Amino acid sequence: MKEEDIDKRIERVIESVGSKKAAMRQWETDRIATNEHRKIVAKRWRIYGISAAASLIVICGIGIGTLLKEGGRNVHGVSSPEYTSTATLYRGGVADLSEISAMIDSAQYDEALKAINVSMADTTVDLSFTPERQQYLRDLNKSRIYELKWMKIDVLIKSGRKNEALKQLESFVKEEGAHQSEAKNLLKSLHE
Amino acid sequence: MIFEFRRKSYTDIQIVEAYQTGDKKIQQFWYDKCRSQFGKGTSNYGGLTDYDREDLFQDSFIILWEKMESHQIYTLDAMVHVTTKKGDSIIPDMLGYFMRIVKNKYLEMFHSGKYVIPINESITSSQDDSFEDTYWDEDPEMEKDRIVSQCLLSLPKSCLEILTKFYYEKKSLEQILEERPENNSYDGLKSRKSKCMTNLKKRITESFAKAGLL
Repeated sequence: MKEEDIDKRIERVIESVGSKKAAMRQWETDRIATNEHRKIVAKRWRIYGISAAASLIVICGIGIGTLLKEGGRNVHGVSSPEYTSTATLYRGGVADLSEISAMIDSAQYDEALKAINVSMADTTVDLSFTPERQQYLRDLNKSRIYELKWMKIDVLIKSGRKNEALKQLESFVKEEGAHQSEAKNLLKSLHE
Repeated sequence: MIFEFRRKSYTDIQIVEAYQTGDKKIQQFWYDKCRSQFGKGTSNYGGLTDYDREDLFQDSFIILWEKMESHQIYTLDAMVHVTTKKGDSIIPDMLGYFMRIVKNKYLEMFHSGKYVIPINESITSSQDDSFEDTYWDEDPEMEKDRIVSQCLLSLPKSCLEILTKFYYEKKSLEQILEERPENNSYDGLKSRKSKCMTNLKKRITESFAKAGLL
């Protein structure tokens, strides 16, 4: 069997498997986003339902009270229950950022580091998408990786690996981004 | 939209044809369906980490995808068929077929000895012997491709990742090095890639020899 044949076959199969995995990754991202959206919508409707029921009870109560008593009573204002939107800002893969964040909060540093490295490696963009969508996904990947690098520095510091954190930080501070100023201050404090 | 209407469903025939014609909407529908069933159907598959479980799903799904794409699974007379060593047979339920692939893959992991999987008699005792020739194609060229695909998927994940980035994403070693902080140097990465390819070729050659394809 010729070496060249096997090389070509390997390359062809890698392209085939690679494109399938890229498609599956995109479908998984969409599936997670859809599920998150459904949870948020369901939660909102539960809150609307509770608010509607509460309002109805209050209105009925006021109505009954008015019927039972003669006029001239104050009507208490009913304000809608406050709720802050819990809509998750979807930025292509933020579900894994929140999971990693949860791991860090519960001091699971090794798992967090593993998850960060796996997530950082996940930058595949399906080449069958339109150029515009590919670029959009690449931009999402770029900002996700930026966040992951910052998280990695956090994990390294919290797990006592300051030298490694310093090494990461020294290159991270050169990147423009939301955490640049904070990173510079952190670098300064680590050097002191 | 206030109300979410029930999602459209597709038949097994439509699904097989979608994977042969490239209909992404139906492909995604089928992916979601398999994903959901996988979660339910493997709840008693012990001994696997989350990553192993993810690999099990991905590898099984790719096997099924390749079988549909290569027309080993095909539609005829309003039914779905599959070509096997013992002849063609009908697939009455694609989802059930997918789960049999998953179970077979899980049992392979069990028998490989690489995983400490607790013996689950309800799974191992119900091994379906007629399903042993799941991974076979009568066309020698397609069979070679299938073997290469299996060897590729059996590589350590780091090797698969490096080779995919290099050959599929067409990234340079410098770009890969930026994305893989665990590879400390360019020379280290280059050496790793070379070893991965050597390992892969060795597995392929052995598998071809075993299958009588050399």
